[in-house]
Amino acid sequence: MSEPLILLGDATAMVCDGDVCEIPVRVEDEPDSVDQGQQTDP
Amino acid sequence: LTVQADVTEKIKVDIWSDVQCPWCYIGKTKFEAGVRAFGGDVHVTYHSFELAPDTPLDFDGTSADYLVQRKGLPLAQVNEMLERVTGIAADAGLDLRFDLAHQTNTIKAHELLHFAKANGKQLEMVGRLFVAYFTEGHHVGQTDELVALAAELGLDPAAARAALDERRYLAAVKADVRRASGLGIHGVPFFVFDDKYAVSGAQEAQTFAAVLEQVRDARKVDA
Repeated sequence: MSEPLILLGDATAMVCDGDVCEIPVRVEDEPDSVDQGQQTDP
Repeated sequence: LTVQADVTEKIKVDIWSDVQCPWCYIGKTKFEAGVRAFGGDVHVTYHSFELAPDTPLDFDGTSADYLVQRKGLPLAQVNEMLERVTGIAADAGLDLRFDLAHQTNTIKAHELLHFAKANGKQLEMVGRLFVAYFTEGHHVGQTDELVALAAELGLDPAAARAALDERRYLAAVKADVRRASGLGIHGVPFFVFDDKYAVSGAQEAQTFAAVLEQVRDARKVDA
């Protein structure tokens, strides 16, 4: 796996990164809310 | 989901995941639905990823307790967050019971997954650990609990206990974590197809199916 990976699929899917689990919010859903796009990992 | 020894004609899928990661559980479910929709055979291998390696093995509390006590988050925010995750999981057909969950360090659970892999039961063990942690309230940091779960799958409990007590697969877990770092993986679930293509996060089933078709088509071009 020495070559860089080619990323496929939806770039806004849900992922846990450290203590943070992101829930992506489409721009048209909550354009005024800064905090809507993230939540902390249980 | 078909897993066989001959991988030459199957799409190879390497998945990095952690036992306490709700998106990994949801992602696994959607990935497997995607595989069914795709219709072809894949060869799946799970790899260890530690989201919170600083968590004590003997932490005595729920997920909410952990987030409030150790991360300093307000309880109301924690409850709202867990309700949202639970709702999304329910949409995927999963029953997440954060009120029962025992937050812990997942290192031993990962070691058990490597033991299961060595004995041909890795996929079953991945699924069993998700249900045990998220639905049934098992403490997956405790050796006794892990051994009992292994035995449920027909694995030798004495051998499982010995492997955990001797930390026989600790190096393999750490090697997985290092490999993830080398690949630039910062979050999970993370899916790698044929060592070349990657998908990050809990994607929809149809997305996984489309990616698998794309990978299969790329093979035809390469051939």
